[in-house]
Amino acid sequence: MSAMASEKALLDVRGLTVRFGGLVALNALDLRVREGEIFALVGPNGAGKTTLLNCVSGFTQPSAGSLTFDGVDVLALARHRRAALGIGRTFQNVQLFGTMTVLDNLLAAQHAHLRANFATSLLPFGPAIAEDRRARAHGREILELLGIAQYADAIAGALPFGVQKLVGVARALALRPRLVLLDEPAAGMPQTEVTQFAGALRRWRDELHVTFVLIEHNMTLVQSVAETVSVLDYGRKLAEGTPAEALANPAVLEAYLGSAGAREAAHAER
Amino acid sequence: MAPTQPTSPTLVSTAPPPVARAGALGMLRRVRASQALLAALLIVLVALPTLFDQIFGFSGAFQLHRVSLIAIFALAALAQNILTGYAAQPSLGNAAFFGLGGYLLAWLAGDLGQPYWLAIIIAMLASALIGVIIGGPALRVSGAYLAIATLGLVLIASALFDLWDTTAGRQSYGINNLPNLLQDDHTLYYLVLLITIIVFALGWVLLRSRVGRAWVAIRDSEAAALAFGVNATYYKLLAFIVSAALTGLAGALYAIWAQTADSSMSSVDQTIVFLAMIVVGGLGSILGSALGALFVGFLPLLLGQVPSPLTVGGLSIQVSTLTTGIYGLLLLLALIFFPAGLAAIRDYLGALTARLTRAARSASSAQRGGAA
Repeated sequence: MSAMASEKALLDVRGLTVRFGGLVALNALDLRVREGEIFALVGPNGAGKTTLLNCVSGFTQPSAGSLTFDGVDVLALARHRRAALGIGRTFQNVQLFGTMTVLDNLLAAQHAHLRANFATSLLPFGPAIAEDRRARAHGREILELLGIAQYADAIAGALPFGVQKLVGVARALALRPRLVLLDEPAAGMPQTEVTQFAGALRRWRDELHVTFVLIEHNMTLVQSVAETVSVLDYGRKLAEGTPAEALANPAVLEAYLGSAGAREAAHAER
Repeated sequence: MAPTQPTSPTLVSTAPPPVARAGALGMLRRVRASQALLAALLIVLVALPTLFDQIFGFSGAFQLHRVSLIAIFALAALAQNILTGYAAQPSLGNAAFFGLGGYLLAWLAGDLGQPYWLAIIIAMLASALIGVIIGGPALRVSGAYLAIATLGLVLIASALFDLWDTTAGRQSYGINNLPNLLQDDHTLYYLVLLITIIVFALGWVLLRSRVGRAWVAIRDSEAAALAFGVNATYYKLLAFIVSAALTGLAGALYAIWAQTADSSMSSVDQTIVFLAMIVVGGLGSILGSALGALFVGFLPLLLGQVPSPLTVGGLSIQVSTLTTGIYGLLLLLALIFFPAGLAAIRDYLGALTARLTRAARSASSAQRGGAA
């Protein structure tokens, strides 16, 4: 698995701290996501997983710490400038552009790479039209890759929730990202499809050369796809390593199952 | 593949997509049909003056004058729709720019004797400039706060225009040197029609471009828009400026049309008319902007058919005073029952006929069941 992932840290989180009033959502968190890997972030509700994601997107301002992407200080950039670095994301509640068609969602996702301005956008010919045509072709390629090309002209908000989630992933991939942050992609997914999704994630990673950071509660998905797992609890990192290492950590068992459960699990192993 | 529930996120779905009807061929047919419709509409609009002379005789010019007003209002409706229907900014301030456009035209072309084309362009640019100055701070607030702040702008503009009129010792800003060409109802109609068609064509292209997508993205999900690189602050301001410029243009044309500028151009009543047009016509729809203007243009004609003063019991009502109230009522009804407006009337009719046929079918089958 580490053949895939180089040793270079693409996303480097150091001492990141977020406070909401008296609550410490992230407590001096350190994380290093290597280029090309599938990195899973797990932990109970309220552990700070989505807070970390929102720090990357700029919806939450940390009170201390640093966050660099390929050496660039992400926190110093305005929110709308971060996509251009090559950071795509999905949302827990999808947040598609619901009145647009699926293909237009993928076009809107390429906003940061398109150059058309107000003046060129008024003309029915010229550079804006040409660049839109290329963006449309790229969008169709992504839809083909994800196997949802048949929905290209459907209104995104009218699609079933499961398809919408997939469109959310497609939108993040259309950005031509280097890093994609997936916020609970398997939530609500039938167990039978989780392994299928795991295979698809690996394929997308290989074909599009992206790094995935996955926030996930579904342990089947985490165990079958993640190369590194980091377990958070109360804004701290409890354990990190391969799925087998990280999830067998006594502290992790305790956080998930309570101390009695952890004793039982340890007993069962013996 | 394992059987899946309909709502499951199938990676390779076998379910037919919701737009199965709109295959490549269906889409082509639809595009051709709408193009044919558009061409027919253009021919009718160009031939309208001749048609009106045939139909109405002497009053043809007067009727054409009304149609010119509808075209001017369509510009104002498109302006409000770009800002409110597309970029989702509930600004009520456009009436301020409508008055500004009118007063600038009256001043520049009427008083200072500048050419009319130049006055129109300056009215438009000045509105855009004021739009930049006002829009920056105004767009720091959102939702109801923006609505209230921008409504304040209308009241200020109205007071300033009143002050100007009072100090100049006039009731309204009349234009006395209108060239004969612009006094002619035919030429005025063609001029207004040409400008409206050009603006709508540019708007159609713009709203399908990167800029239009950014506006809709902000409306649908501002969080996602930001995450995908849309500078929301910039695009909201851009919508405000474009809207101000277009409303200024509409105001200038209105002053030419009415041969006067009046402080009622910047009033709460005017704001309600702008809102009624886009809500009744269709929020976030170019077609809806035109339909809304058409509707608002024809409503006074319909009201004119009602005997006035109307006596209800012991009350005697002057019907024309009810217009704004009726717009407000329609606004409310449209928001509740037809949130997509006239532009989506085909969908409503489709749903209605489907429901009626279903009811008829179940009624007839019940009858057959009863007979057996």
